[in-house]
Amino acid sequence: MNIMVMKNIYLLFISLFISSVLSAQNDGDVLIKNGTVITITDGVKENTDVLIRNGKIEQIGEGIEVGDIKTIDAEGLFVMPGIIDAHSHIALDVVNEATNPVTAEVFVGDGLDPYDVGIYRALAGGVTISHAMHGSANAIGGQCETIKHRYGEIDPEAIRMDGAPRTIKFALGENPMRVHGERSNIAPATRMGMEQIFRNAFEEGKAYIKAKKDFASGNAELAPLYNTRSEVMADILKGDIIIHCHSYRADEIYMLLKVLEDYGVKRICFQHVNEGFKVAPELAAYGAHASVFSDWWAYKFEVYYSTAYNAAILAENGVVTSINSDSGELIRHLYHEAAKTQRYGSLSDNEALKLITLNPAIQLGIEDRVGSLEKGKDGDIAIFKNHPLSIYAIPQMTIVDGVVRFDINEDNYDMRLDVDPDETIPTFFETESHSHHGEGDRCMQDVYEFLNHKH
Amino acid sequence: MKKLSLQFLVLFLSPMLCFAQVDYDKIQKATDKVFIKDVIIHDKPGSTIEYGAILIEGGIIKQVGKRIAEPNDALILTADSLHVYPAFIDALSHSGIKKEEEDGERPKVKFPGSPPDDVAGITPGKSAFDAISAESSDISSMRELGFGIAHVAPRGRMLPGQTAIISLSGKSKDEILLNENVANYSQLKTSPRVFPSTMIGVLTKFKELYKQAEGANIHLTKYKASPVGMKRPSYSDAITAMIPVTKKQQKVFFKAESAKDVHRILALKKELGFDLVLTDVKQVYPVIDHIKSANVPVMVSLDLPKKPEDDKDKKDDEEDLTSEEMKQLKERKAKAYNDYVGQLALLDKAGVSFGFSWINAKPKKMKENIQTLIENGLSEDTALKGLTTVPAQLLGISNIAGTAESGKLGNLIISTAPIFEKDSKIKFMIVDGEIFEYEIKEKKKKSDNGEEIDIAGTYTYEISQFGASGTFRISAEDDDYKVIMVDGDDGSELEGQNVTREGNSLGFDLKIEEDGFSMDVSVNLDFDEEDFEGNVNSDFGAAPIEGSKVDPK
Amino acid sequence: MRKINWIIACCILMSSHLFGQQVQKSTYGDVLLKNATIVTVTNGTIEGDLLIKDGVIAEVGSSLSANDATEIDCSGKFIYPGFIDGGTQLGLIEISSVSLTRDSDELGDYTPHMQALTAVNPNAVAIPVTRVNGVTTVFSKPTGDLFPGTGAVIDLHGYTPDQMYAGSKAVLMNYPSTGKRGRWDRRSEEDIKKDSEKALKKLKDFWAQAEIYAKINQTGGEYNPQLAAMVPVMKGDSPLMIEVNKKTDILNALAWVNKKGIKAVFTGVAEGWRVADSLAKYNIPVITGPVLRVPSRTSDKYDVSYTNPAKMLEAGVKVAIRTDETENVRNLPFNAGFAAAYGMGVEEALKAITIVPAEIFGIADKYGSIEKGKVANLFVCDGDPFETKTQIQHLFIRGWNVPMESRHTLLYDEFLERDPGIKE
Repeated sequence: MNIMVMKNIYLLFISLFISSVLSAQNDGDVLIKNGTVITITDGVKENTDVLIRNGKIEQIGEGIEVGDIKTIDAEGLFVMPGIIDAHSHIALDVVNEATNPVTAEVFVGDGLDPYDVGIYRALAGGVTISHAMHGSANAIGGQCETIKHRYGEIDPEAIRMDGAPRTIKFALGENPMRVHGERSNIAPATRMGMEQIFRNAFEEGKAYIKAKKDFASGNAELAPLYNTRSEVMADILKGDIIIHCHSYRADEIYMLLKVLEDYGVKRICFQHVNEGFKVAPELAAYGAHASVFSDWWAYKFEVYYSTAYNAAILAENGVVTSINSDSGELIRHLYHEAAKTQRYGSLSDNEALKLITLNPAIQLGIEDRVGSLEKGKDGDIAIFKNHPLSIYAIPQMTIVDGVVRFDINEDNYDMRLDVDPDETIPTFFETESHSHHGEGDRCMQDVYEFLNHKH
Repeated sequence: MKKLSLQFLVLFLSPMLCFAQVDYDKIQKATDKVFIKDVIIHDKPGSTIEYGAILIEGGIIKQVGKRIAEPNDALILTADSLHVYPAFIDALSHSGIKKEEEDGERPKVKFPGSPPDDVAGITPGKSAFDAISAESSDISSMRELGFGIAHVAPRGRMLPGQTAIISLSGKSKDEILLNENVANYSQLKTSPRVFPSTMIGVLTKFKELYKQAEGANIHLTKYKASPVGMKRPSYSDAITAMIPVTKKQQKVFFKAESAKDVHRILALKKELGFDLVLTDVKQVYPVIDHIKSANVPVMVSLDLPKKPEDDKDKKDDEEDLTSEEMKQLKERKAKAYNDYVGQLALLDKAGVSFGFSWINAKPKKMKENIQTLIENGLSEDTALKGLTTVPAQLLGISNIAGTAESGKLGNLIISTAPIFEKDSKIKFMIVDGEIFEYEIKEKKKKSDNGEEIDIAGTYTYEISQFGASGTFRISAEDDDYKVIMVDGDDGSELEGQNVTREGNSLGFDLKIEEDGFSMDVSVNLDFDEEDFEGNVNSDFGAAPIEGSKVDPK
Repeated sequence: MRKINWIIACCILMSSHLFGQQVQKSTYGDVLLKNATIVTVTNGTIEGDLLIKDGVIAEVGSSLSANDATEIDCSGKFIYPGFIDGGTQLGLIEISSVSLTRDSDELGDYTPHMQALTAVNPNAVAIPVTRVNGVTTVFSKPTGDLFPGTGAVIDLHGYTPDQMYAGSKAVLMNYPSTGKRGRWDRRSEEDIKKDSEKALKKLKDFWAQAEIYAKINQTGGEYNPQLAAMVPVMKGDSPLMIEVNKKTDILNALAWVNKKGIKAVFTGVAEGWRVADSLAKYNIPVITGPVLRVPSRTSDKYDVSYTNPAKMLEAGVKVAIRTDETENVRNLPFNAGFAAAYGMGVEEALKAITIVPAEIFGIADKYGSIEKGKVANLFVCDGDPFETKTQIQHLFIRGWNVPMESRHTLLYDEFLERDPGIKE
């Protein structure tokens, strides 16, 4: 055998090895045996099996026997629904189109990056679904995408969660004021200006709907010139898009509630919402949701008067609350972030786990498919050694649609999907984000570039 | 439209002008017939005529074949036993268009969210031909590489404009245009500081313009039928220029470099339904199936990655990884490289035909890269097709170009050997019947200057990474070298062990002891006249060392 | 709503009626903690009592009694020494995005004479937020260029820097990095190399001056505050805290330190696991962290920062853990908890935020464990303090009985049941 041939066989072997790690089986059939199954909606079941077929949960019970199926021994382990992050920026090539206070027309789903190793790191923290969001540079940012962490797939289309409702990013306070008012010298520069941006945009949407109606009913000869922004604003007014609004201060949260009430928009989830605890009764009364940090505060002025008890206060006041990451770091241990509601507050285990499973699912409008372990739901599962709320919890295996996407025993160096033959070695970064300062604020990614170009 | 008719007018007038005024600074040609004989004619991919002849008259191939009578009024090209090919067609490039100063002063815009179209890079109506300079050196250098025709796209951002097909004959601008407003050129290129400043903004804007053009077309059609009482159509140049795209009267050459971008552009095509030509694709291998099932033509980029280096040239940074990581990385890089160089063979096997575009790839590296692809399974015929018949067909010029058959343009390559062979050289290019001859330079063998320099003397040294400096005293007796290192901080001396000289390199070991701490260090110095550069290797890794002679000067 | 919440709510209502707006103050006096499980760190775990007297741990034993001491029954509860964070900006930055509240980064490459202790704000809102999680002591340090300044170990209680100062300072140095600063760093590999070489030259030049100054200063030279700050380092009286993270940088820093013959502590040390043997061989103590950090390279294993402390410890390196945080230094026990879970073990992880940093800062005679005579920095809790849900009930710093109160708890108390509630 000549050397060239041997080399090729070797490389083939390597490629098989890598692909086998990343997508061992793709049929979505798996049986998880004898775990402590945390269902979220139906209590905790000891020594219980979960059967997934074609990516869906088919049965939960004791002693399930099925021949010829990939079987996972979960004895002594905790089996819970895959964790859902209602606010992240992983798997995105673009986060902010920061050129305009209103960019409802753009869609981060056009810029999905299935290669992002951040997806794998999230899987290694038990997270199966994340809400890939536009950033917070604009009062009305772009539309967001709910993604499934099918790491190993390279087609951007393959990581979309098909059928998930459309969502859009709004943002209040310092970020849009700084980007537009302070740096570009255009409104909004104040929280007063912010309110009017929303009212204007909704009025535009209303006028567009009317123009279309006029055309449809024959009252106008021509349809209005197609306008993506107005299309999106109209869809929000029609209730087809859930708003996820970056917000901090109680006054601005209250302002947006009033605006939405005026325009009859019901579906709203406030993001970060650090001062949500101050208007928790109002949020609950409106049916607004809250997706919060476990403990981030004080990195800027509008989060100075915060409390880590925020999630607990919101939950106790009846607001559907989740804990999110907004960070490539926190997304790796949302189970731990949820547990903080037991230090800062007194949520039960199930209430705390709901914050990272069923509640974010409700906020994304996908609770009929994920967020708990129930027959018929998607086979999205996280398996832990030690209770997931324990500091000693270690994720063992993460399953998406019945396919194992993370297995601690198959983990290796360099889980990237693509290697550039021209690179020397992967770059070392001194300050990868571990907190909200410095470059940690992914919410403002791409903005610095936009701003820096100005001078 | 106005531009085009002007062009016709000029073309029409030009012969008359010739008669009116003779330019004696130019040589008048004796004949417009060219006869090439006793050549091996690769008249089209997969076909060869051994020892045939070709007659070109008035820039057009008149006859090709084995037994063609030698005319007595033709220029006879001495090309005995050389290889003749149809000249290549560049499927898309910016040939002849000057690179703009991209980071130059950009106009100030009050509302960055709604800039004027030209500032935003949205000029789909802009003509590439207007921007072409016939005097550009691109034209002659493309020709020297074997190209006879170029398909040229304007430079710009997301929607740079309309492409043009030009002849690389080197003639005046009036004479080189084959076809204008051929296709729409699009890219995912953003516009700094203004909308669309991101790729998602570009995609949104593209979709919006497309739908607006559809709406505008309906309006225009209705208005044409019955204008009475209807609002007069008035649409921006950008919207108007997109109408032919929406009506599939014009193809979109969309640049998509990576597999990820290919996915994105295919999704865009699926949503809107325009005629797409994937352009300048560099990373093909992950998306071969997708391209095949989308049934979309592809223009690939010949921008190949460098072959991963062997262990010899170890970079400093590699010290950072464990040997296990490094092994894995090298294997993956080697695999990725193999994927790149093998991808076109697979694309061909999948039955997808492709041409080559030159937006990012350097045409100068074409031959070298095609050879690499051929070594990795690409057939020469397929390569030749990609450079001739495939682009000709795609550009709608296969009736006049792409093969060396009679009736086609007199665009030929005459090469000393089969064109993709390593030692082949282009001896003549014929474009529109014009002959260009190239000098074949004999490759000079580099005579290695093996002269050894005298390295004995005193040198300063500096290892900036350790903050160390001092002097070396190097002496020689016959071939035995002695090195003394004098520490610049405390003046202590240390003698080098195992000193060896090879060529102009000197190697030795040092045992550094200080405060009970000891370290073995090996030093390697490369001398160049009065200076040296080298490496210091220790348990702690490698550090560069440099220095220069202080005595004797 | 559950009963417990009604009870909590009633208590809050009562307390606001009883005390109005009155602020809870710390109290000082002898305290006897009875019947606790005492995790001493240095002498195992004891079931017994602990007496605090005159700000120090006066006695640890069984069946202790003291006449004037306030007695607190700690049955079923645990006593731990206060945690020590080996690297923070606590007190130096109030709100990181508001530049005028950032006092951590002075201008200039060579500012070793900038004293963190001068700018630490004893009334920083984050200080109570931090200490109620059991972190009683932190090393607060300037950040920035080559020699950013001198950091100080402080206790998280007191109204003046002097009341907080815990008796240890250290000069900081950022070893010139050959890595990228962050994702936004657009420098090419060559630029990075050039920059790092430039910085090494700066280091060399400054060091030469500092060496000369240390020599001539002994015989009475002119006072130069910039160079004077380096004298304790030059004389080996005080360790130099060198921030270094990338493997080759760590090795170069190691060679440099050995050549200079100074005492050094390496901080950050994100890639310490790659060179753990070398760090151990040359006895360089390490203050690593945060543990909750994304891997430094896209190709790193996902858990590389979780396992880094364990791998260094295993090789024999002295490892302390830090958060490198400002407002969330309170996450120190969780950083240690992750390190514990990923190979370090609970006992060693506990040391890494108690006795080990105390040793590194040279204050182990007073800090870092429950021992007779040590400063009474300790807390009482209802379980493993690494466990997220564990509640801390009592907190003592220098013997002061500190209220379990911070902005965060106050807002909870006020807003759990807001009054007035919903409009109407």
